[in-house]
Amino acid sequence: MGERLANGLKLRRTELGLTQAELAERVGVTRKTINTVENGVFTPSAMLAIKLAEALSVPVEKLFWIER
Amino acid sequence: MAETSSETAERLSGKRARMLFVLAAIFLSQQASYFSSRHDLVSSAGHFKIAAWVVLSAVLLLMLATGGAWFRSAEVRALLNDETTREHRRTGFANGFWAACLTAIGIYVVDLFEPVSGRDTVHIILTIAIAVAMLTFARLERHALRDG
Repeated sequence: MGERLANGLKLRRTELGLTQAELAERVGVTRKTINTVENGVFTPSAMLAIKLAEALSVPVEKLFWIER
Repeated sequence: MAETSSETAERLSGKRARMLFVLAAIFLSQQASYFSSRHDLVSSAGHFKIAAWVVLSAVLLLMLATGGAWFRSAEVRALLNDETTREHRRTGFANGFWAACLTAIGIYVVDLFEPVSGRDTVHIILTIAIAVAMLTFARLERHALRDG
């Protein structure tokens, strides 16, 4: 069976009242990157995953997990 | 209100994706002109056509490799070449490579029945490789830019 990296990015972002553009600005990427990570189209690097977790004040393992 | 670097990168990213589609169309239509008069390439008009193709190929390759926006600030260029863009570019180049290999195999087979000149072979393989890489990159970028 395949594995995929799931995430709670959109949920956490909306909890904090942030737009995709605002989160993008915080981590130094474009809104396009946030959009593709949220939709599961793009798997971020470890570096970006940690930056996202820091920006959203949540441990990285709470933001990303492996779905089997 | 002044545009932030992020907003500028977002706008330029969309513009780049649209422009790549247009440039791919121009690039491919240029080939129709080349192949309709390829027996007349020794004239100055023929040389001009070849030179135009070589220059456009080089510019498109450079644009694909660097992400364009050469006259923008380093910050905007970094945003224009962020993680997703680099991934899309890698996929574009990989698809271009496979298209080049398959085209080369196709030409090899055709050449068994009808001779294909070295120049035409290079022309076809390079054109298809660049066009496929550009279209893949532009399609992925357009898709990523859509609102979630």
